[in-house]
Amino acid sequence: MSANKLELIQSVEVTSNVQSVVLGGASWNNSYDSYTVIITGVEIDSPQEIHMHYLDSSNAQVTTNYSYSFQRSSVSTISTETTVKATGADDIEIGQTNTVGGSGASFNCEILLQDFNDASKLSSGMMDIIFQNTSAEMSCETGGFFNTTAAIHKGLEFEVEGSNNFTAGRFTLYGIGS
Amino acid sequence: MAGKLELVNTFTGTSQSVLSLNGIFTDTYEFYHVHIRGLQDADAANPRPTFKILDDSNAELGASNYDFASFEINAAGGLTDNNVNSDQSSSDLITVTGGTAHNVQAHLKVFNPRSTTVYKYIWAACNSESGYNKVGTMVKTLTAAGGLKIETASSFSEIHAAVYGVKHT
Repeated sequence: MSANKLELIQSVEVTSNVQSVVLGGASWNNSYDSYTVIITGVEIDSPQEIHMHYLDSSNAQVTTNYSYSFQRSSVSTISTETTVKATGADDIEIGQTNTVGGSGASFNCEILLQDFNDASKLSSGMMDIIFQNTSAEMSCETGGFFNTTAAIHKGLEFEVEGSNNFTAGRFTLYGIGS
Repeated sequence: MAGKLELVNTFTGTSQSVLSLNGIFTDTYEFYHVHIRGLQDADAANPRPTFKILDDSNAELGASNYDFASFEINAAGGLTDNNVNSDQSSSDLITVTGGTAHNVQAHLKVFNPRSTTVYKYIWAACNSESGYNKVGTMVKTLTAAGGLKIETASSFSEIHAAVYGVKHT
């Protein structure tokens, strides 16, 4: 098979407790127009939400400039069909509060990032997510997000809410060559 | 820089009700894209293809352990929730127009199919002349999956699948 254009930039495997995971920063490669992030098998020590922030150069931007919307479908007693929207948020919510972590739970997603290297455009993305809570209730989400301030961004930070920790999983960043 | 999206295998068939994608999942990859396209011949009672996961011996895995939720936009613009599918023996794709040789497409994202510590998770986007469907599926098994099986209660006049693995090293 000939070489293709999905190129590995960084892969982080969680093997012990960490509250946050960073993709990019010093490892960011600005050669691409688009990027893919694949997250597999993430586990958290206690049921919490995962928050996502952009990186400026190496620091997470915890500012009220995030907007997102997505549709959640759940096989559970918690919710069935939910539209989640936010503007002026200080993070991007992925997963659902108090459902992602804990024994047996798992979180997985694919994220597409665009215009992170263009200072004149809003860095934006789309995500497809599937996760399970401790009660073996599955939810899937699809949606998009952006930052309302046009700027260059150099990656993402994923953080567990409430000082809890990631305990397992893999976070991988790819550039999509053009 | 070497690419990380690798073709695992392709499959094709005609005039059959089952397409088995045997031996597609290995420890080389933790994430897969599966692209399915075909034409289905179905009567109105059996319009929706389904999928199952297979073990390393190509036997069906997870009977009565499929949970799936979907959100379907039909061709008339209506929305359908389909969120109470617990403990099934397969997962649905999308309604396909009844009759001969009607279009069906699906893009499956398969997370960690070889895991023996967490369940199997498959996110699917499906398209047909009858609409669009997003389906999330969890198969409650800790046995490593080796493949997939695409089925219809009627027949596929043609069915094709391409499987790609995404390397993380």
